[in-house]
Amino acid sequence: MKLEGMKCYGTDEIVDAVVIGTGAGGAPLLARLAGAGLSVVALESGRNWDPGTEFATDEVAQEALYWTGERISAGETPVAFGANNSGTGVGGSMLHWGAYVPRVDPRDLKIRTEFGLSADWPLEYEELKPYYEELEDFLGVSGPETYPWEEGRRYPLPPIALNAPAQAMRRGCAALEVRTAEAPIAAVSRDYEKPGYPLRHACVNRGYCHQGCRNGAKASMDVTYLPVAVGAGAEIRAESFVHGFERDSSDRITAVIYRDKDGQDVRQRCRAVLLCAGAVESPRLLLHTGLANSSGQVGRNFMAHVATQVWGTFDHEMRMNKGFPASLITEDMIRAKDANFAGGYVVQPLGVVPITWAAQVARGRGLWGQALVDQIDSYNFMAGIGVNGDCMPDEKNYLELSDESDPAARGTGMRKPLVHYSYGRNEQRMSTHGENFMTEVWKAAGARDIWTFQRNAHTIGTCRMGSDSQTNVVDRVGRSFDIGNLWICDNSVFPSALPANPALTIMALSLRTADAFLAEGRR
Amino acid sequence: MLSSVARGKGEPALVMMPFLGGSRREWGQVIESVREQAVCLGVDLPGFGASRDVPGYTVEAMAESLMQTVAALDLRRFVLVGHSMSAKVAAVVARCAAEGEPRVAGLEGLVLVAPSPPGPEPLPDRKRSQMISALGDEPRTDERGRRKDREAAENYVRENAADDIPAEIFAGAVDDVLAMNRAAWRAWLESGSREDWSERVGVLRLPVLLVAGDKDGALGPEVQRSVSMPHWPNGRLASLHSNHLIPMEKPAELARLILGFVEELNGSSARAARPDFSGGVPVEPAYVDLILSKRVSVATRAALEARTVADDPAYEPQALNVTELAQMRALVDRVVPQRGPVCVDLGARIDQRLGSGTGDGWRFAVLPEDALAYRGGLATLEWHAQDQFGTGWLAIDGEQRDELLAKAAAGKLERSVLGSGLLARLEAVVGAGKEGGPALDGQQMLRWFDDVRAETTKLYVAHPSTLARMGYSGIADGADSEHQTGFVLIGEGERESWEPRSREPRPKAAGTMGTR
Repeated sequence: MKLEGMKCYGTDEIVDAVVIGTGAGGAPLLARLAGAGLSVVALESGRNWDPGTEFATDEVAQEALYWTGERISAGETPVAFGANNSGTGVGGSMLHWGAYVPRVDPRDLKIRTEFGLSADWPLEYEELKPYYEELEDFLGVSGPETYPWEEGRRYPLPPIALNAPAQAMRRGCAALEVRTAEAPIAAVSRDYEKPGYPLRHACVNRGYCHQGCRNGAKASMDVTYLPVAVGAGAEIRAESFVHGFERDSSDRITAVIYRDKDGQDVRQRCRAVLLCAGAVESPRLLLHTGLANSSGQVGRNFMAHVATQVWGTFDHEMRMNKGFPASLITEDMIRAKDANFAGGYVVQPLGVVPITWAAQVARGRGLWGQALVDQIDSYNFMAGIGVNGDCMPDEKNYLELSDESDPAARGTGMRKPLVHYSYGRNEQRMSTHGENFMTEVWKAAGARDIWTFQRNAHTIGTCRMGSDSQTNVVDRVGRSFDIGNLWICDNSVFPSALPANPALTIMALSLRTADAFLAEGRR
Repeated sequence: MLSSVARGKGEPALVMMPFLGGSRREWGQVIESVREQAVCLGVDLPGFGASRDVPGYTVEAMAESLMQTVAALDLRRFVLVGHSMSAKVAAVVARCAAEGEPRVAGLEGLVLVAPSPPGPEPLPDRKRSQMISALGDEPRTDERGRRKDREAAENYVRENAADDIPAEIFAGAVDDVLAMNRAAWRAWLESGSREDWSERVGVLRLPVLLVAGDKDGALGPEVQRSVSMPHWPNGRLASLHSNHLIPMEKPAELARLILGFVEELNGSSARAARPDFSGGVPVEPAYVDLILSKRVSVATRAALEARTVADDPAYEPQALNVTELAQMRALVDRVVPQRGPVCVDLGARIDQRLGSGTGDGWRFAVLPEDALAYRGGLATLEWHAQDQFGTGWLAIDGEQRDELLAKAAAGKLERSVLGSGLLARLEAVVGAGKEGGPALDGQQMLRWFDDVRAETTKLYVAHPSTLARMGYSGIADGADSEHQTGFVLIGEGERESWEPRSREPRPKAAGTMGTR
């Protein structure tokens, strides 16, 4: 994105706020704070990109958008990182997000009340709703004319075109009398413009959303909130890796220490810090610096969505690389009638680009030899369907620092994160339910040679938000219980995983935290 | 858009542009001589010829118009042929092409005829004002309806042509001058010819043929050698007995030089443009054409080309030792059997990655760091081969290897099954410190073989020869075009006419090794 000519602050200048991370957690609040006239500096560990010329339509080249510093995955259902669940660059992992933006179902915010499991959110749906509406309008969400699972919901743009996997899922679900709708997608189905960011051209069905959008159709942060923030006077410093804080005698943070691209440590003075580095890097930084952890809860309650997929071969060409990777939705399984588990899941069709897909076949289906080559040769006839399901926090699932030094941490001595994750009984049952349901849908759609790929997705929890300082890291608006001028806003603060894909809710929390931050400043 | 007319056939296309005041008509005789070898596209610049009413007379504006025009003509390979004024425009476009401007990605070379150089044209001020006053105003007629400035136009053409040129060619040139947009004439003399592009154009590597006339007072060979040639390290300066209007004065000689240049380009393009696709594992020619077409963006093409570079048959391993590399190659051959005469050296590519110390962002906690895990996994296969078949991993056959791999995938390649004597012997040999990795246990082998399958498969599918086999169209999204073309036909069973064909899916493969 264009950063030339942006306002620049001196490192000795005491800025109102430093924001760490420019993804879904950091970007919206950066724009909000700058728009309110605050002096704000965002520190982003990744580099700045010009998608129009630099993004290749190539999975290998685009690996540069992933966080490839090694994370260590333990447990019975270890979480894959890298291409999955992480990103780096101005715009964060939103550079390669799927832009699938269902809102949360109000029932899922009160899951503990309903099932006695997981945790309730310290807020009501009605509090999030205006933020959802603001986001959908600002980002340019394309969606169905009416939304079957919420009365009165309207999207600003008509739906994104359904590709072949979406058409198959619609047919299969219809046969089983399951409702579907075009998915809410944060990509513009028509040219779209909002004050503060340049015109974005309509989606051209390129299909490389998870490798970075080239024309700005997809609402990544670098084409939406970040230009607004820079226009309002925010400064974004790319390739800046934060690894320390300075504090005064009352424990308030007075400066942020980061290593710049030349390997030099820089100290930026500030009045407040908003930590928005995601559910792995945020807790890692806190554990590394020993901050904000009097509860001992930093790193705890790590969750990942149940993301089981079912695949099949069709008799006609699907060419699933074309079109938006997931463009249909059903929320009928948010509370499945025959569920033997708490919570639920959303279902989406899957188009996956070939290298990622083939590696998945090799890894997940356990194929090798001629059987693997035959599957790969049949790529154009494949399509998938997948769930995104809630996950219950569990004592045995957490993030800690390993004892291995991280060479990707630029010599700061930070250690690699070690993430423990195993499905509990609820996740196992939900996955099995999803597998059975999707297999039926795929059969009804005409697929054969159907198989299941077990996976999980999205990293959630580790700096939980709640009202009790003994069991949570931040309060109900995202402020640290321990350090008065430290705020956290990203997927780490989620009290429960929610079945909805997290980015829209992260952004809603980001705007909400910004408003709370500004309100406090006014007091 | 500039007016253009195509004649002839063959590649690269020759985009021919005129001198100040002229039109593509001046190239007529040259075109007759070269059209059998290369398609000729006569283009008129803004204000002249059939582009009389096209605005934008600065060098930058003319370059932009030219790039738009070339993009619309959809030329895969082309040469810009500029004469005098238009040669300066061609030089600017060449700089844009060198910087990756997608609309002119097919530019292969320049033919510069009596070129106005990238820097200010060495034209005396007196001469400049004389030309402006002679033809700079709107045309007037005398009482008999005769154009008053015909004489000025005739003088202009005559002064620039040493030899007698055929009467009808001369008349045509004069008519062109008279028909031009006078504002364009003034713009070039007052500013365009004075614009200094020398730093911006800089030094460019592309092949250039520069032709100068030895009777050309202002822009002859000596001037060209000092002001033009420094920009073109791969340029060749040829001199003809001619004044400034070489295409009309010496069409046959100029055509010969141009044909020679085209031939050189064709020879070197056969050698240079495709070596990366023919040196390694061959990619289907139709797929190479797709990769080289405008549907594939510059960044994408570069990424694909980088992976088609031929593997070194004498590759020296970086992370593994020589034996381990051989074991690795034998292993990946079971994961992805390649049956072509030339195969992608997947084992070497894995070793290269291990040696670089980079990874995919995560690893299983049960495994040590990648290089150690790979060495340990290979050592473990070796031990179990010895134990079960009495000979090493490299000596057993494919079926025997699959038998061990099936056990690994099932988590059953347990260390405990090894006889203690064998274990001790092999630990002494393999695990003696510097050589070999630690033995992996059953659960570790299960995870490690997961990783091996995934990494091998990624490297295999990433190779363009595999994408071609798959009939994969996703690379060709037209992402460099102004309104990125993407895909329109995306539904079930729908295929854009240009998309590569698929193989029919085989029935559910026999011998599936699925374990989970």
